[in-house]
Amino acid sequence: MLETLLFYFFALVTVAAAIAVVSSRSPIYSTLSLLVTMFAVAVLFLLMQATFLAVIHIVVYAGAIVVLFLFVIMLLGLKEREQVNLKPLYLLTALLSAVSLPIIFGKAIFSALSYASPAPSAIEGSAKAVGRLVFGSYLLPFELLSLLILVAVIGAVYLGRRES
Amino acid sequence: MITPAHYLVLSLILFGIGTFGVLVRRNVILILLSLEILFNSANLAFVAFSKVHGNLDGQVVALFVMAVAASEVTVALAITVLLFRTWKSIRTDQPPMLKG
Repeated sequence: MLETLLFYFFALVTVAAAIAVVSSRSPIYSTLSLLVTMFAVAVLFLLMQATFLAVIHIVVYAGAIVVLFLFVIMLLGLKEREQVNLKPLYLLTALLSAVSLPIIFGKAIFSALSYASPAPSAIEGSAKAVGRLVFGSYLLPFELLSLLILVAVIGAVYLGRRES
Repeated sequence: MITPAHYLVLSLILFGIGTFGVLVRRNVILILLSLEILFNSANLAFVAFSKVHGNLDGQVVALFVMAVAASEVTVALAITVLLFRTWKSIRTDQPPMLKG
């Protein structure tokens, strides 16, 4: 009962904040709405017993990525309000594709498996259990991921250098 | 009773909102923000599927998706800063007319 209430409340918060991200007229409002979305999705992770992932979600997304966005917005001094001067045909096409893609994917997803019954076993998404998998069968992707992050850092530093 | 199907429907709704944002927005940073919503919907779907199958593989993949998204945002924002330095504008609908 409590789980139902919490799920619907935070699902509503997520959708409302996501709509605020895509329709807000100021970049700062959009970034702060993204922050709210991240926190709501972290609570949804907690509801699925993915505790480690919820904390990592907050630390990585809300603590690093959103802060990075805010830094760049303030660095570039984007105070301008976005003028909404789209042709209505373009808006209609975007709306159509944004509605039809989830329907297509949903048809494919829900025809493959049956999700009506609750999860067969209670999984514990603790750091210990996830860590056992990451450093066990997923060790190679983990190491490649650290290489990817290194490449991204080198790329970002190189792209952001001052021409002197 | 909240089944994984509820989470998957929510993930699909978020995916639609993110797609709409990427298509409609004219500011490079706001396009990247809508991309983050798409990443979030994918992570929700991964964790929901890990609950369906009863193992933690989906959560491990969601962890990797987070790391890839973080590095992608880093490089994309560096490119955006570079764009702004060259063009003095990061809008995708107006051609950058600086020198005339």
